[in-house]
Amino acid sequence: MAFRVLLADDLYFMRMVQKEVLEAKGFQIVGEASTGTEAVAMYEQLRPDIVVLDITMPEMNGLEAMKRIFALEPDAKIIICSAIGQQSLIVDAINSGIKDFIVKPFKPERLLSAINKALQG
Amino acid sequence: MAFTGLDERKLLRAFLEEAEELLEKLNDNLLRLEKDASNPDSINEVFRLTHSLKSESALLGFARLSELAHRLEDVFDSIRAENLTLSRPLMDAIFSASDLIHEIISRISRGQTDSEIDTRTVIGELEQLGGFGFRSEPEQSIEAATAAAAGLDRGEPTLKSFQRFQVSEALERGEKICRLTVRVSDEAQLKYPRAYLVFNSLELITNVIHTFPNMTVPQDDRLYEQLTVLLSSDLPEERITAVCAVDLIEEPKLEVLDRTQVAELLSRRDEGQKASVSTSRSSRIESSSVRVDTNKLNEIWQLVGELTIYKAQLSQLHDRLSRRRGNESIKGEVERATDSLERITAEMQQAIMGTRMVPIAVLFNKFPRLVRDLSRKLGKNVELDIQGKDTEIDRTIVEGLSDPLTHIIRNSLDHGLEEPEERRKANKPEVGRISISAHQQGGKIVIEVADDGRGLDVGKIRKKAGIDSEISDEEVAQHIFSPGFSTKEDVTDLSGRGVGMDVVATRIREDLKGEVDVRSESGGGTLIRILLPLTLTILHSLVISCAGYYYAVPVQDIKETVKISEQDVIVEEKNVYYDYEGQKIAILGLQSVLLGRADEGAQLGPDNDGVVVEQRRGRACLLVDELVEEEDLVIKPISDLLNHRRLFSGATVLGDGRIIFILDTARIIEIGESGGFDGI
Repeated sequence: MAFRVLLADDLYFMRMVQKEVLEAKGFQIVGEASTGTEAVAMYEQLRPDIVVLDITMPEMNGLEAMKRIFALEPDAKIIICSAIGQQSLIVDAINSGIKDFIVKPFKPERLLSAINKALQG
Repeated sequence: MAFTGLDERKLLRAFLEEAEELLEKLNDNLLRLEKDASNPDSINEVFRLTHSLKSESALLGFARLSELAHRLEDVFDSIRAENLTLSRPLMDAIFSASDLIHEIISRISRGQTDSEIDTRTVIGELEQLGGFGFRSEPEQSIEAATAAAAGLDRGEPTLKSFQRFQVSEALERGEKICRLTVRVSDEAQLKYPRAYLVFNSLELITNVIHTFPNMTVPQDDRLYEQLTVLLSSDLPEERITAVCAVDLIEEPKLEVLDRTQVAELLSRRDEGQKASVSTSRSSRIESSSVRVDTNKLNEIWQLVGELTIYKAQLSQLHDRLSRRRGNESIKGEVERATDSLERITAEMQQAIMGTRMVPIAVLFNKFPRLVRDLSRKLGKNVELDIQGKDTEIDRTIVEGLSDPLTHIIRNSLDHGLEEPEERRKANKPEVGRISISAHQQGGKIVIEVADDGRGLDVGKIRKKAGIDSEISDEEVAQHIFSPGFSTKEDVTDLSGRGVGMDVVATRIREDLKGEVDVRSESGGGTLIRILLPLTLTILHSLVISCAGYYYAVPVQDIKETVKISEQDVIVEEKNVYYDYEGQKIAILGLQSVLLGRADEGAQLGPDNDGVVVEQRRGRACLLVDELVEEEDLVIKPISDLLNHRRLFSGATVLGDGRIIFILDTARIIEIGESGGFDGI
């Protein structure tokens, strides 16, 4: 059965890129959130195998959403999508328990490899 | 384009649609900023918009557009951080940049690329007005950093005493000592966080003793192309190497050290600080920071320290000069010059101090995960509360504090907090609570770790240490920090803490010149409080004189300076006491203490200057000849030869070679309490 993925990014374009990459490799995108609030709600409802969470999002940012998802499910598998200047935020997120992070702009194989490794672990 | 095999036209269409929306918002916000340059919402929004534009255009291979957006993002990042103000010329440059972005986007929508557009003029303008240096290709300098890193002794660390203790403890527990090495792929853009993924997983399942490079405080990102971790564990090797199953982590190699290797490791002694990696050849690392060899910083610090001493001398000369008649105009000028010098020296000191300070968040941030995972392993529910992450503290202190603090938190979780069942029976909420906090209090940093667990069993400590009933419970509890107090068997027995708390205390007191104490209530939890100096190098001191020599007393240890006359004094046998706030404290003549005759009792004149010093263990009043003045002194360690009675904690050397010794107040209080040297 295909792994179920939740994508969270405020930019439709980014989500589309990720969706294309992942669907091409047989993943099932079960939901797309454009704010942190949406991401948490969708996580609770859909219980995906893995979440790809952008740090910079309106309403509630990715890190806050990450914390709330971990509160719902301490073993949640989360990959953070970040930019080059966000090193300390990434370290915070690692301390909170994310499986991996990808740095924008990223190549498709980075996303795939990070997700595959995270799902194995 | 970066994406082959995907439907590029579809992507491009989506990009253009989104870009149009972004540009509209960008324009609105820039107009808003033109009216109100400090509007934080607009600044943040522009930062976010340019950031998005940068990422998206880079993804589609529009390098020039991406670079332009990136530079705008940098500008707004600096404005956000209040390193840059939005001036009129800068605003103009930003508008030109925004216009250029419009132009590029409309070209792209007409099916052209961004490659013929000249973005250099606008970028140059932004860089100049934004105060950013010219960006060269970072790749050029990687070699230099790597070469420097390779020169370091990466495989064979020299362990500090606490780490050696960890190794021997681990061997006693029957664990293996291993060295794990991984490479972080050249493709990884942020190497430190990537190495941190491995480090963090290791910390959760093994006992990490040492890492190279340092993982607690981030260094230059390029140093993290290889990570070497020394650890102890009883897990099978494949469980340990499993943490390396992370994207862009390559060539994991786990080596179990044999007995000879461990012995060799333990026998290595710290041969002084190794020169830190100098990256003078690779001068550009980030837009707003540059790496400086810490030795160079220390040198500057040392010089500023001497400057403060000469500043003080000059002030004294000026005082003398002003007491004489004549030369009024010159006196005025000298006074102004002295005042300016004083102000500038103080500011300089502050500024240099700032270069050594890092927020304690770099340390605290690793605890949520540690607590989360450890609590799960132990089957306990724990809520962690962290306060005061922004508190700034000397970089070297943070490094030294990492292990002891981790140890304290592990203890709280492991031994302090009860099992859920036990908590239910005691009518406590099932979820235990650990709070970690930091704040600055005067010249000190206070760090507290509190839990609402079962507390210390003072009765058992009393029995074990053979302490009679006159001593208060609070004092008895401090025995967990006494050298050699806890051994392995005692740990579980003593309902609580005690594992290596003596080592934790030694580390805090001796290496970090701090203080640690514990307060505990049976059934009501435990609070461990650590007091640390802001820095280990500059000490705010009161200079005093005694028998023609100068000495210094750390101001942080001074309760008050007092005038003492004979009627304030209580004489009992040969000891003299001072009635201070209703408490009887020993009066010690500094000269007798220095001569080793503290038991002779202080000789009092009609009107004496006294300094009341205070430490956790008590107070004492020190009689001196004269209070000279307060100074910031740069401390240097002194050899045991000069200090065989351990009266001094360090010394400072003046430009002309004279030495001021810094009195160790804890030791002086100890002498006062024991009634002279004989009692010790």
